[in-house]
Amino acid sequence: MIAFFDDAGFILGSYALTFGVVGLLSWRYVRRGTQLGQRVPDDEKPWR
Amino acid sequence: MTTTDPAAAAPPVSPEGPRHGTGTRATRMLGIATIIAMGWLVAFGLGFSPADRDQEEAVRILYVHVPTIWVAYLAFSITAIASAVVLFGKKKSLDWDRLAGASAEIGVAFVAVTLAVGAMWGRITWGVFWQWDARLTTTALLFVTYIGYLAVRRLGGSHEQRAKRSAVLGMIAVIEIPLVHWSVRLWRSLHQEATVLDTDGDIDMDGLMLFSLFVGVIAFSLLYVWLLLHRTRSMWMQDLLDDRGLDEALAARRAEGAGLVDSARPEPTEPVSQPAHQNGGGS
Repeated sequence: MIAFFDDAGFILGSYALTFGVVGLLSWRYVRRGTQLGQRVPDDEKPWR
Repeated sequence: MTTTDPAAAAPPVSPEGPRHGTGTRATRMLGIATIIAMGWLVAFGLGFSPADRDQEEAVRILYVHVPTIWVAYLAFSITAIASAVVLFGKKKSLDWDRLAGASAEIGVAFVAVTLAVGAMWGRITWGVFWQWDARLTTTALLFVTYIGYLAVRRLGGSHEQRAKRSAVLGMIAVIEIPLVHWSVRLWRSLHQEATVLDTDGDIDMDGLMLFSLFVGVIAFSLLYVWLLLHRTRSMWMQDLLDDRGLDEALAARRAEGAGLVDSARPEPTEPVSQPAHQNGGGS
């Protein structure tokens, strides 16, 4: 447990960095999809 | 005093109602499953799994470091397979090209995470963030190669040209994956050898540690599929809009050439004696 607190910055930082990057990427993809989706009618989208 | 009209500030709405993006019921369910799996990863990675005998608490970083590079390998392999279909498949569809591009994009993001998180693990275990070690160097090379692949996709030309050009690179670049994986055996390396994907098939890991790693692999695989669905759909819409923009530009140009644009121009005060295209219009 002592070692955890010694290295906590790097351990927690690695998780924060990972979730930060994938969260940002996910948000960017969804936002881009929403923006483009406004310009294409729903009946033309094969997934709808 | 000024008044604000709420309708004027609202985004444009199509006549049939608000349009949808890339999400569906299936992607929402997949997204929820991904969030739950990520929650499990945090719980087991940071909480329930024990410290390692040699690496102590630093082993917790490996529950994100290893799954992200495995999913990146998967993403680049999907890129290579889709690229092969683009080049050699009987049915020429740009869907395979979009799948290849979207998968490579996600793979690049995952390799970036692997490198950054690996540097933190290296700082604890080796005392340095970076070494020009065989595994680290080949992984950095893999990252740069796929950045190049994405750059090639952004070069000009038609969608078909983009598909063929990037498919060639997508099939060549995948050769680096076995090089990265076997680098720890091919050269003297600081990096530890494979624990799970070893050739002898014997996994020397504590059960809870292996389970935490397994949860990480499941969580990042679900995330990969979720991202891939959203990205390929965005790319499909972008290509459609690009084609329509091109079609509209061509139609306008043809109309201009045929003198049909006269209707959009102001009415002349005097009768025109000659057609517009004979007066130098439409150049």
